[in-house]
Amino acid sequence: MLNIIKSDLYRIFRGKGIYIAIILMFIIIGVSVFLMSPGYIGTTVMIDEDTNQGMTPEYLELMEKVSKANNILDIREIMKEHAEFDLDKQIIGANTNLYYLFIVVVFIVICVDLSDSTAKNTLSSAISREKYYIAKVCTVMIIGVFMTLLNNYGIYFLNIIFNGKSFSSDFIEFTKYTIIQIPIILGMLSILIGIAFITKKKALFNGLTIPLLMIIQLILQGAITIFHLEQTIMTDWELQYMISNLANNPSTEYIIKASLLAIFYVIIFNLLGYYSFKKSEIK
Amino acid sequence: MIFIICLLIVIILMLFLYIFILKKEIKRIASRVGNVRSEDSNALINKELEEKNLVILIKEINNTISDINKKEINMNIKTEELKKMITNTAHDLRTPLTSAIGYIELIQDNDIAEEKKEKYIQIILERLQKLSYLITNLFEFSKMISNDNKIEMKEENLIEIIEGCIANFYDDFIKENRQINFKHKNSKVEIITNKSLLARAFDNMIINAYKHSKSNLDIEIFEENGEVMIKFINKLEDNNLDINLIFEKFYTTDISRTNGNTGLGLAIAKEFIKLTNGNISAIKEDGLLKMIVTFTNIN
Amino acid sequence: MNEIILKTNNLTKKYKEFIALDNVNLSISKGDIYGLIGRNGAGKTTLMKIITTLSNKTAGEFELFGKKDNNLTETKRRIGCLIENPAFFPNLSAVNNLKYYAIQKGIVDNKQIDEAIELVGLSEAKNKKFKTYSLGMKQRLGIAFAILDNPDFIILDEPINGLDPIGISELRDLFKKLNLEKNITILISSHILNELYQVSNKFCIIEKGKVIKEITKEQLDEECSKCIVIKTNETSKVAVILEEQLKTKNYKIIDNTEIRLYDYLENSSKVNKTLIKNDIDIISLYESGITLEDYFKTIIKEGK
Repeated sequence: MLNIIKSDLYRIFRGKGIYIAIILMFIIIGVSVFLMSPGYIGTTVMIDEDTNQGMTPEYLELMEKVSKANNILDIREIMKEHAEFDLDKQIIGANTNLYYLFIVVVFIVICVDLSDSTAKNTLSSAISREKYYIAKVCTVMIIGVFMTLLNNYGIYFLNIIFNGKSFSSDFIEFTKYTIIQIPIILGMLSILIGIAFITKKKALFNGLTIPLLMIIQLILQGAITIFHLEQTIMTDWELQYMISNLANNPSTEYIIKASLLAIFYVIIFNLLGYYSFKKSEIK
Repeated sequence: MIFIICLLIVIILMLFLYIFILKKEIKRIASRVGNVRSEDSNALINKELEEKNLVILIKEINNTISDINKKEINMNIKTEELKKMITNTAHDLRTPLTSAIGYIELIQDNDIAEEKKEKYIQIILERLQKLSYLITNLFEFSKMISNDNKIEMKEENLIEIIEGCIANFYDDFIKENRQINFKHKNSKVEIITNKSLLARAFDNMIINAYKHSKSNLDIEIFEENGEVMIKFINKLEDNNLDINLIFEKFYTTDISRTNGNTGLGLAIAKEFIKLTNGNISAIKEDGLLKMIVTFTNIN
Repeated sequence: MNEIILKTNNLTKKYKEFIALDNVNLSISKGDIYGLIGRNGAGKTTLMKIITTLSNKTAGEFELFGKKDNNLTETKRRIGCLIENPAFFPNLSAVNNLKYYAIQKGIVDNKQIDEAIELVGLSEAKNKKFKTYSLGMKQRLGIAFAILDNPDFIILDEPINGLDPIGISELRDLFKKLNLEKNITILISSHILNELYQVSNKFCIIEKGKVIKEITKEQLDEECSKCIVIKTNETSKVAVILEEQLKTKNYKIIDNTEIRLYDYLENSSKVNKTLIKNDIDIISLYESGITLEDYFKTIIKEGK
């Protein structure tokens, strides 16, 4: 099983796909850090007023000055003079962006192998389907966590370089927040893995996963509106909100809630993926 | 403080984990070796953990397995050769023996003229001599495949050896109005070799020319670039001769087999020449069969 | 005497209503080169997929190296296979593709990769990316993969597809060499009987998922070979005449009324004349023998 992980890592880091994903990641980080504001792919999430600094008079004054500024460099000057907050924590609150990069990772590790039939070479040798599945899951998770760490610490150090210590949080604290995010990241990865093993085809996988996040948000929001459900279902449990919440002084209770959800995702989607895979024909 | 303790605990746990993984891998390797031994398999041991010393261990085990497999294959080849040899020899020995017995019975049963008796006795002698020759071939062949003897190599005069061999068969050739022509520039060509092995090799080559051709036999020696080349040339009788097979054991053309040849003469010649650090090859050219023996260890 | 490598017992595979394999019984012994012949869609690939666990059987059993089909994970190590189209990573070269699988299999000695590539004749193109390969080259890489890890049994699904005559001949020599030198058992499928005939020692003809016939090469030769069939009641007399007057031992006494002569195939009239001259009562004398294709067609028809 270790061999399969090793061989996939060999193959992936020999190809181009992963490096493009990492470069894209750094571009997004760079832009976020430079603009001093977290960038979201897809639907912009309005950070709830209660969990943020609040609309203090200083904040309003700041925003007025910012809106009068003409270009980004001026904005940066103004921000640096007048504001002071943990920018890096805010940026990692937007880590749901990593979902789209994870699609690339799962695609390269799993979809390519199943869709192009190279899996038959592996499965006809001395490996059972269980070990194959577990190996793929491990590979995806290793790369996923690696990219998350790269992402987070990239943000941390770029932020210090560009914006100075006043916008940066304490290293230990930042590490704590990173670690808190890991379970739900694993949950995200498991969803993608499960879908990959169920669909087995490259086009179907892409077609399903790319809009998935947005579709779920729409459905959830729609259900909440139509059935008059609690808005907190959305703000506490939906993925994008959850990651943003976890970066914003979450309570221990919330951290536990999030971890349980993550474990739930990991177990359910992997079981689904595995049972679909076990019975299937290898093309 | 707590942090350091936690860190130490984590490190210790990881060390234990590593030891556990190592042990598992060692167990797995042992189990694989057991499997490969009991199955009759080409498989070698593979690795599942990237640990330098274990990998070296696996490589050495694989080398050992390969060696054992090679030895087994060699043994099988030798056993097959032996089986073939026994079958062929039984067949080949029976023919002249039956024939000789037939003639003896002829002499015993009937009243026949003295001349005829003489003639029959001569034939019987020839048959038995052929039998003797075949048995000698057999012994040499068995010596060859048992590889027991240590070969002594010393300085000898190649010209002398060849002349000695020619002398053995000169009469046979003359009786059929054929010549053996030996062309050499010097009267001495010294090489390090084993005299009896080389002599037997040349004997067999001359016998081969005698039996399978009706023409003269030309033997030529050349010295060039530290090499000695000896050429045996005679006219080719059977154009179907497969030049790639003539040094193979038991190869004879169909007609020859029925005349009681074992097909071993040239195989023995080749083996003996190899044992004395020489090389032998053959080509067909213009209706002639040329066999070339090369030595590179002259003084 | 020989170990049985593969044995299937009423192996059946159904896709909903369609029966892909119907109670297939066959047996492959160690050292065989076993030719699986059938038309397109006859079930050859399906069979191969089931015995390599790429596909699940519907009913029946099979044993690989004597191990039952639910316990094959370790045994699969001894197999190498090329099934359907050779599938490799387009952006990696041949060497790197094989290196990927070498890491996967835990191969310790990387020389095995170069040896496999050389054996199939891909040394020149070994560093070019797989997506640039012609069909023949892809096929060769597939075969290199099959022999990569010293298998005892290799399963090849139409390996000569897309190869030119020289390539086919080289592969044929490779198969024979692997079979003789390393005692590797080979299962080859094809729809070209002539090609399989040159390498295999056993054949299995399959049509619509059913095994129509399992036959050895000797039996095939007998049923197909050109010969002069002499039908007569005086078979022993004819035998003597064949040996003494026609100087041939190349005949076979089939039964009390039939001798088959494998000599004088161009000159049956001479045989006829000689027998008549010796007062033999000939019931009939004719030339026989069919091509492999015709034999194949007949068998398929009979199987229907």
